[in-house]
Amino acid sequence: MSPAQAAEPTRRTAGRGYSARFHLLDRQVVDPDGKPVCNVDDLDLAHDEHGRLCVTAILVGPAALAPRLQGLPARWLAAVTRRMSISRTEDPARLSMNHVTHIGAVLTAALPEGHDHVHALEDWMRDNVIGRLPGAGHASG
Amino acid sequence: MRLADLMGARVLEPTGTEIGHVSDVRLVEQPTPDETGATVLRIEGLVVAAKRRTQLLAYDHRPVDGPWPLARLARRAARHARWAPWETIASHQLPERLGDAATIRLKCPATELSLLTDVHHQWASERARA
Amino acid sequence: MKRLLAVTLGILTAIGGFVDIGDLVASSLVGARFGFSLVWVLILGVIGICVYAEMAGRVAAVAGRPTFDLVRERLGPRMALVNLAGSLLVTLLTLAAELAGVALAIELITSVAYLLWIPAVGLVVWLVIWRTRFETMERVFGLAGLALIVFVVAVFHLSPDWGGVLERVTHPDVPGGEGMPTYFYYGIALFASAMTPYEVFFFSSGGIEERWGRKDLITARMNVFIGFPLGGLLALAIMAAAALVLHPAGIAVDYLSQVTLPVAVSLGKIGLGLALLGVFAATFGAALETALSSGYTVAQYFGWTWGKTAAPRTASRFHAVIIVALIAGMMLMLTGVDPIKVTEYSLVFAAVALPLTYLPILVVANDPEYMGDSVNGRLANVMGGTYLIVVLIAAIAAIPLMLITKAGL
Repeated sequence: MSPAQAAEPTRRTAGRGYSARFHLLDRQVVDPDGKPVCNVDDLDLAHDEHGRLCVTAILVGPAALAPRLQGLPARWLAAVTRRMSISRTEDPARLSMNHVTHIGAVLTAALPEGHDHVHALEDWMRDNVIGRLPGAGHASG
Repeated sequence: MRLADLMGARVLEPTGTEIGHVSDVRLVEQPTPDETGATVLRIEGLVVAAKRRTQLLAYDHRPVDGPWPLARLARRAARHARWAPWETIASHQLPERLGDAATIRLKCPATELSLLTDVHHQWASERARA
Repeated sequence: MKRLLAVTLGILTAIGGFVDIGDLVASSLVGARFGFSLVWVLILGVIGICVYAEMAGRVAAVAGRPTFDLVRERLGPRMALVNLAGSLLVTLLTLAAELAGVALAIELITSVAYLLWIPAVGLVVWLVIWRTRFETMERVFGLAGLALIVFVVAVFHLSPDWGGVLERVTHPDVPGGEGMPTYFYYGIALFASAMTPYEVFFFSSGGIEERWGRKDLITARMNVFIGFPLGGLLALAIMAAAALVLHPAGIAVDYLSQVTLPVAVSLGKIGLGLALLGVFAATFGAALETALSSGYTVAQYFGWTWGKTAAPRTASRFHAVIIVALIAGMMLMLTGVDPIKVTEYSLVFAAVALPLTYLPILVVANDPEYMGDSVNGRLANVMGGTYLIVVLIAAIAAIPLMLITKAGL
């Protein structure tokens, strides 16, 4: 391990192991400035060339959360999401795992330009409600 | 496929007897072949817990030692949990209805799987060496 | 002065917990009906909230995680949703009551019916959240709320027989005419409101809004150990003033105007003016705390961008939740429902939310993966564990007691 890595114990390096329930699911994802982006509502898996399952993306939003509630609450949330959805697809929003640089008390994701939102509801709310109120662009501090 | 399809899934022996459910999934960073230093998160195996309601707090699958009454409760709850490496998994079947549990079938009987507590020590010593 | 200003977050948080509209009336009512025999519960509550606010503040400073984040991480989405429902109902019902409380305080000053003030109060609360700096907000309302110290002055001015008071505090007995269940019902109500969950949500999120880091651990601790006991002292003084003036006279407290009565008796018009200012600031501060808390809890459960310090358009869902909460609170109060009763019934939901909030804090505060070497010491664990049991007992006992006593009648 290089000194730079030792100083950054949460950086993703080969060999580190995680418990899905403890380290990944329901953790907050933040951008490099520490601003909350989303929660890890679920993880998307795909088979690699050896047939082993690997994580490809973080799934975000009620559509991703619904199956994890189990039983009746799961079906209810899924039904509400379907009816109130403002995006065109039923699939949950995705944040590619390649953007995630650190896994610690939070997951840090270096988001590329223009990818600072992973959720349609935030955009809708900003464009149609909050952004229209006077002073919405003013940081009160 | 999603992680939620694995978490909570019913686990069956080759004979079809249910031995418990998936209470956790262990993932390990694997280097990618392209030498950029990038890694990919791969599933190493599943933690199979015998009882349904032992999973509160996610306490039980990591050795945490305080406060002691909680830690003891967690350890007691996890003492029958077993570790199923990915190689021991024969098949995985998605639930028919959203919110129900998926089904996982093992290649070997539960008694051939090692206890989670034993594997813990192995992981801890690996981490210490790294 | 600078030191004092650094602890205004703790003071504002404690004011929302100890002297919000429900507690103003409840403390006064308890003092009038039970004299000094429930003081021990208040002290028990102050120590309990200090224990858990210290842990929550330490986790916020060291790991940078607010409390509801921990709730979802440690309990999973299902149990956390139960907690979210419980906490949010407590917070919303309290918010609604606070809006009416501010309006009632204005009614006492202007003699214009409080219902007419509610929309204006809601709007001003929103404007403060929308435009004022976080620091300015906590300083103005935290410090103005301290005007309630006039109750402490009033108690001293009444110059009670201190030996007798101490005797009644340390040897509590249920006054004649009151049943045991009623006594315990009010005890649990006092305890639950002292440890109400939105305090830790607000306190830990506020710490993150103020960008606490590991170096601010001392600030966090000072906030806890000065702010919360100060809030408790105010509640205690209100209770004592009622016990000294109203209890002997046999006056029962049903209205806000009766809460300030002992001060008027003891200190006259200036005292009454200060008490009214304090009541106004405390209820307004509590309204801000609960409105922000509802935004914090929902946003942290779902992992949305949140924060009052950034421009609202960058955290639009968070601000939308606050606006919806304020509108819902105003509408509930405009139906004319009694705000004091509303805070009493919120106790039912607190019973669900309290254990599910404090357990994850205790677990995370012990986890070196979050906390490094700032994990709980032995004292914090013994106190935390003990209080978790007390909270559990209170939670289990709350609902049957409420039914038996018909909410303390």
